[in-house]
Amino acid sequence: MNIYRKYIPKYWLPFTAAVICVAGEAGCDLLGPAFMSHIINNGIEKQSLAAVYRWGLYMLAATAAGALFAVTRNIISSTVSQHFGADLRYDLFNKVLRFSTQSADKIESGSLITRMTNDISQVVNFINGMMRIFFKAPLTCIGSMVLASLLNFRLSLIIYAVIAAVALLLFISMKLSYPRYELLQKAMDKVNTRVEEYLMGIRLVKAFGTYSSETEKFEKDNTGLYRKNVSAQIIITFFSPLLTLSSGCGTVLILYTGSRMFTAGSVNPGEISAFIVYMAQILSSLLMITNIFNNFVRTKASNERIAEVITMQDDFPAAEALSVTQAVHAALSVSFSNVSFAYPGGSGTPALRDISFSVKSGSSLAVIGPTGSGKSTLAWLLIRLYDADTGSVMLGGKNIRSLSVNDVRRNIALVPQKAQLFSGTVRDNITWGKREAEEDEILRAVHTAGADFILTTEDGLEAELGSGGVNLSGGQKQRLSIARALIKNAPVLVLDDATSALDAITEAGVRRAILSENKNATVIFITQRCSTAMAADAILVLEDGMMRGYGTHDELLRTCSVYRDIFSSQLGGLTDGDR
Amino acid sequence: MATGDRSPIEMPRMGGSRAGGATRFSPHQKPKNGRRTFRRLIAVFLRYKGAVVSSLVLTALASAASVAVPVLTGKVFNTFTMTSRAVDSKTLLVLLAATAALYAGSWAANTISGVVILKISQRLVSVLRSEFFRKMQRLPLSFYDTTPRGDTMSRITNDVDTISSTIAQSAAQLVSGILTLSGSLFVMLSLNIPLTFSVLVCVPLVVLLTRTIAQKSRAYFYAQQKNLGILNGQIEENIHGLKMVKAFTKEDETLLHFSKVNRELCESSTKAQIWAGFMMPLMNVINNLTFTTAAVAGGILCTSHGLLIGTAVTFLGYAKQFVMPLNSIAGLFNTIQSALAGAERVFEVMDENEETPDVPGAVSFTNPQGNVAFRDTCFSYDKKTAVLKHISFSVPAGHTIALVGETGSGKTTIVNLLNRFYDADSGTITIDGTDIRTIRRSDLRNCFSVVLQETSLFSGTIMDNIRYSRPSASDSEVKDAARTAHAAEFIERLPEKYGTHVSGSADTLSEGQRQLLAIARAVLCQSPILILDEATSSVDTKTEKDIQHALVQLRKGRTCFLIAHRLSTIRDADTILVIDNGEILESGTHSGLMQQHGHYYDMVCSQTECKTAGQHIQPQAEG
Repeated sequence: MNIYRKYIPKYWLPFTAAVICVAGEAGCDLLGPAFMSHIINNGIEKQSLAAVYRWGLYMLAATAAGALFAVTRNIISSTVSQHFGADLRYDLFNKVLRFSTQSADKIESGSLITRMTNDISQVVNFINGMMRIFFKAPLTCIGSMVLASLLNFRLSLIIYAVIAAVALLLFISMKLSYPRYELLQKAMDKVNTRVEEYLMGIRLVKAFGTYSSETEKFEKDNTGLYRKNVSAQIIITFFSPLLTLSSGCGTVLILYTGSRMFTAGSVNPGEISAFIVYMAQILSSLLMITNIFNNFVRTKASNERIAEVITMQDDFPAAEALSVTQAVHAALSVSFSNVSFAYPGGSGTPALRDISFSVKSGSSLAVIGPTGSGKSTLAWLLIRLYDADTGSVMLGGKNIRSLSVNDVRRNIALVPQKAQLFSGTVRDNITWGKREAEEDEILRAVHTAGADFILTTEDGLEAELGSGGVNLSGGQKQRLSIARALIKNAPVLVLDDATSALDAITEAGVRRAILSENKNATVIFITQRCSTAMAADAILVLEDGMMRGYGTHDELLRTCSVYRDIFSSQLGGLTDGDR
Repeated sequence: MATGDRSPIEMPRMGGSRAGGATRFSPHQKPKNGRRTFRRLIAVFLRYKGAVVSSLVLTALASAASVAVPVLTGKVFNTFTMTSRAVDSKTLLVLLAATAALYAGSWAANTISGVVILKISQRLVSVLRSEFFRKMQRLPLSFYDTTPRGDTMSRITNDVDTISSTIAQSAAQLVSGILTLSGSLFVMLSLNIPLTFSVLVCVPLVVLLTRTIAQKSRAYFYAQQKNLGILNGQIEENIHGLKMVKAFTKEDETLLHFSKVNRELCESSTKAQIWAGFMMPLMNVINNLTFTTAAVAGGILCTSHGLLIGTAVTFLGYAKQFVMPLNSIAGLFNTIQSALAGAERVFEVMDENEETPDVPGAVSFTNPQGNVAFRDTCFSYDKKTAVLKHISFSVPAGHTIALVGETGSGKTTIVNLLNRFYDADSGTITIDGTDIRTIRRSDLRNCFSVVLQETSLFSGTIMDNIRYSRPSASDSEVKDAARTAHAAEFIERLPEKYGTHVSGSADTLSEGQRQLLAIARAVLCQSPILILDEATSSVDTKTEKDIQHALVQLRKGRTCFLIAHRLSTIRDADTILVIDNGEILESGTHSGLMQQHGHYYDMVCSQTECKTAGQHIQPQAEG
């Protein structure tokens, strides 16, 4: 719970006030039956209308006070819990944004989203409940017992017995239920997975016509779910009427014992009827307590999941920020020396092994190699999403570890493999790279990236993109993503397989435009295509995280067998006879 | 961690409905045609006529008992004689015995009806779910292409659940609520009319409270819903794009955006919560008030109008139990409404058009050879923009045909039509001269084995997954297929080898490895026509070359459709079709097309940059 410590100073006062109000409200609820018994004893029994009015007035006052408490605590608890929720959401989101990439990799993004939405609302509901019913139910329960004991101790013994019986029943049913509900959850997950896989593989199912075996598998899981459902819920179905029965037996016992005590003169009818009311109140508050318990179990899980996020490691601190001296349009050199790196939490096999190369400012480098050879990792290390395990990465002649993270990232424009656009207009997305960009800057970037298609659409730059750019094709998204990086006008430009969804002719055009428009920038192409690699000043060949060759296209064709293999396999059948 | 991530199961819960809380004011789904859905739903429930009727009768009996209890306890007090402190013990014992019997009876009735309702509702979920799944088997691919996966998922899981459990349970609650209320009202009226009115004071108050809250909170709940949607969108987008946010150092700007929406959400949800939060405590206040008025009115009537004390006590009992059913009935209507909306969503799928059934007299098609012909075939997905325009070509058995062209040119559509995932709008497609529309679907499917762009795996072992295409295959046949597909190497390196467990969603295997499995699957299947749709796009060029060798083996004696982005992989096809914009631009062999210097030549050139790099091309570079 100590992740919430920082919120205590801000909210303890209203929180306490709300809890006090709840206590007051519970008190007023309890006073009702007590006053009522006075109406019977002092009013009806003694035939005194004045007493009826007096105690009736007290009852009314208690009800009014209860209403006042209820309204106050409702306003306070709603306000506090929602504001606390907003604070928590903000802090969590802030935390996620400052995550080191290692932390982000640890938690699946889907899970991170559920934590930020469902789990927070679970915690907020719990906090809200704490200021409402969670305190009230136990208070009402204990209060009823105390008042009943004060009213008549001997009669209250029956209430204790009933409470003990009910509590025992509740305990047993919980004990029996929980493991069964866990099994039920598993059965549910199984059915979900089955359907999900069916939907994902629908083409395959149709192509192979495996209907009957799919149905068979589904039926098995479905029947399992049915069984688990019944076995989980049957417990409560049996126990719930038992609770009513035991409180009923209690009522009958009170009436019987009460009548015996009445003849002995030790109890009045008013007290007996008050006891019956208390009995009902205790029963309903006990039921409430079981629901609180359920809620607590669920909140505990949510809480742990939130705490896991809060305690994640932050991004690299902006250490004694040496800044890279950066004139506009000036390029920066990039160099790696003896860099090795393995993904934390990965298989342990290094993604990069002893990589060294350097790119002079203003020149271009292509990195080529098969999938999984570590090409993208180079880009991640360069923008310092991860730190190399050994060796050093230099930007403009300075080790990037000595620079502030933001400074490094501001000087590099990255076009990722997967074009990640955000909801908003096309303009919003492009100027993401530079908010204060002028109109002609935007148009130039769009043109260079070969994204002119967007200008011919109805809304042009103001066209709204759905979340993630859903209404664009892969190639279109990639070109917008390139424009976004170009407009940043950073000294270093990294294109990580950024044109993979473009057809070869379009791709060649975009590549040429980028090179001629960014003569001053240092450009790194990460690619699988030889045709792209050939356009760069130098080519680095990677395989299994190791350098297999470095040089120009011609040199590599002569010296590097890996490169030659890639080249020949992509070459198609271009033999001399073809031309 | 994993279990909490999706649709958590409702935890055990004792007594009382969930309908009374604040949630009932939040916007919920309303059925479009409630009455029709309701009738249909009744029909579904009536499959278990006997059980439904008997459980409802039992529920009615139990509520009758709960109505009768306050009358009896009240009568108990009448046996007390105040002045002499004497008790009419004979009557008392009879009354107490009757009360105990009522409690026991209602216990028995509640238990039995509870079990019956649980069983039929769960049985019904299970049956509905399996009907839904069988229906899914018969739906055409166009349904799956146009419906988001998550949507169908939630229909078969959550919505089906809502129908049976919610409706079965709330129907029982509704019956018992209405019976309790009307029974209490009847008894009260017959006992004492003025006192009845002192209890009925609560009715207008409850109505007023519910109305006011619903009215006042509606706007805030909609605002809350809207803001929550925006905020969740932001969270999702930025978490998925976290690397980009960092790469562009957008942390602060993103946070600023977020905090703006977060504040708005906080404001609207605070107000919504405050209004909805009034519900339960004020209901309690009304309850207390009713109790007070009943007590005072009873006191007055007893002291000055000679009312029996027992009657007053009876009324106090009713006053305590009158408000809550009133409240929960109001809540139940909302619950039933959203359950009806869920039912409607389930029925919607149940009513979807099914795959065109086999024509009457569909021929059984055995021993296919693999001669494929398209004649003047046109097709459009949305019936507006043509995707294929008058395509005609034929492939003799055993030949390999390659389809090339840009994304969206219609290559995959040709395969979709051949598989009969979709039916052509006009023109005919034949296999060995038989129109595929006259062939039984099950026979048609035996003609093909496919490797698709995206590889689907199913939960199970690697062995199971390869065997998927031919369940009768022996272990050694599976292993042979894996070797042919070059999948054996990586499988042997896995900790459990062929017994390694994989699943559809978990990414224990790389995309390339998944594709190798899919190819092994196709190898194992012995059908005469092989379709490879971008089958090697995710494996690296070296592995691809290995697979190419394997495929040469595989292609022998089979008709083969190749779709590939990398032109290098298709150059030995017997025929290459260049598709552009739904039309066949060129067709011929690789060398023939290269000599034409047409579209194909341009594509090959741009992929290899032959204009600038031509001089490096040495004959020995041939693979």
